[in-house]
Amino acid sequence: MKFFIIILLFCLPTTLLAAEFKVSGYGSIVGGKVLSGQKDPAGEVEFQVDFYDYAYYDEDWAWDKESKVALQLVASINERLDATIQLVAKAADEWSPDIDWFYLTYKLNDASKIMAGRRMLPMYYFSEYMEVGFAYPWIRPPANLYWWEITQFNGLTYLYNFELGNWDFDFSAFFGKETQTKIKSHDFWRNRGGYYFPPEGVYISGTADVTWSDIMGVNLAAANDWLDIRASYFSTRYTTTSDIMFFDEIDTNGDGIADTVIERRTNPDGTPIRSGQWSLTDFDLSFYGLGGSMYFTYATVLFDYNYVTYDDGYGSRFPTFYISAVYNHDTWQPYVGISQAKLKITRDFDGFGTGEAEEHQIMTLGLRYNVMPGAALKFELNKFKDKGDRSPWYDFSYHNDATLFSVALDFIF
Amino acid sequence: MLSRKLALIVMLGTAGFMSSVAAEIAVIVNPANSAAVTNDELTRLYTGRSSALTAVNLVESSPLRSQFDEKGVGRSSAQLKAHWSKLVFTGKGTPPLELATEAAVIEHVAQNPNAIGYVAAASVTDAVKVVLTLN
Repeated sequence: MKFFIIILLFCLPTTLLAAEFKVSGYGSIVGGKVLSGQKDPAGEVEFQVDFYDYAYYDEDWAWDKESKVALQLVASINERLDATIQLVAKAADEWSPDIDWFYLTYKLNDASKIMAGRRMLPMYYFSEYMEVGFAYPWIRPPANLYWWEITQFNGLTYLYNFELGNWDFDFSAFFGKETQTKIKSHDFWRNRGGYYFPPEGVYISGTADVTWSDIMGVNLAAANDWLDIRASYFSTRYTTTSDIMFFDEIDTNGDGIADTVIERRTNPDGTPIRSGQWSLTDFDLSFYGLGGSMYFTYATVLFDYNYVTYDDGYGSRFPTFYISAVYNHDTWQPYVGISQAKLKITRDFDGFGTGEAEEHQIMTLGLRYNVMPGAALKFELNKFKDKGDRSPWYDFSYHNDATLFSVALDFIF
Repeated sequence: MLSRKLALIVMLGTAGFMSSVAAEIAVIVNPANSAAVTNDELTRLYTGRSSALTAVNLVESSPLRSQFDEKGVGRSSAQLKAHWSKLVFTGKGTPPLELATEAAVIEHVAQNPNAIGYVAAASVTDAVKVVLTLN
């Protein structure tokens, strides 16, 4: 893929002399603060908003978690061929610009086209534009649904649109692969015990490398004058490896409290201790989704239902849903929403049992104020509740309850 | 559709203050164009669902623009702006060309057989053909 990008970057300047450019962009300035909540096992009151970039808020105001700015450049090379590049700089990455997207669009005919390169992976209803805050009512799509480490992929997408009566259909098929290295979110699990149930005193830590290979999927979207609906499916091989950190807890006087803790992150030869041989994840993942928007005269209802299956030893299933209603005043758009995510263990692995290992909910109340044509100011309250019956899997995936207040200025240009 | 009516009834009471004085809007095409344009087709063209004709818009600062967004497309200007930003940044569409004046819209439509636009009904000239009138 990198080779492909380099070749294209070298070709572009000569090709683009004759090309037509379109420059646009979007951005968000987001600040937030946890108003109240319970402490997590590490003693913090946190609210996670983005697992991919591992953004979370605590009890101090922060503006560097979700703020971002992006520049999109579309070059029409000829009547059939466009090159699109999106540069995104995120506060979470110390504003270092990243090529989020880079793809070529080749128009086969009026109804179909092929996109080749790096794009957003069309998972959830809002996945393809989840970074464009201006495009949706809230400050962010519900964080308990949109939590995957992988949000983009390198590959091919075929798009075909057709009409049937009052309906317009968009069909797409895609395949590709994606690897993300040094993902911060996995640091979250440090010191939390649970997760992959390592032996006592051994912890999984640091960043992880995740690969989704053999991504293959289809989308079908249908729209008429008041309804927009989209069904999606894909499958992939989900592989994770991570750096491991060991804590040797030494209890010298036998009172049950560790007197000395020795941290080991490297092998004797200085290399990081990797989890490669442990296979943190190495199984097939399937994603099913149905989402949409219903446009009524004075309100819009947005919904998303998803079901993810892991072909792992536990038979893990993740049913999730989201529903939100927005009042459509041109200037003021108040909204409410509720999202819920569950993890069901359906296969008894080694006496581990079956049942619901995780359940959490986010209630959202907010207001979007369309300050000017290309900018919206948003105020939002989110209440996160861990509803999981964690017994017997107490620490499996504990998230502390918390209430978050955030403000955002979303803009496009 | 039942729920749609219900939502309308529920919201109607609170929305009385939204109505404003409005001009009649004429949807115009090139005289050479014999296509009939329905309200539904108009929504399709201005939301990027159809590219059967090439839509042109008035700039956002034009008072007629927001009236057209409401009456012609059935969405608020803010909703449409958000809708187009989603298409632009997913590579799935380009918003209609924006022209500064009604005269510019008439000129553009008169010169492009495949164009569709709109102006105040009172501004229509012989250079274009009216296919739909929005009250």
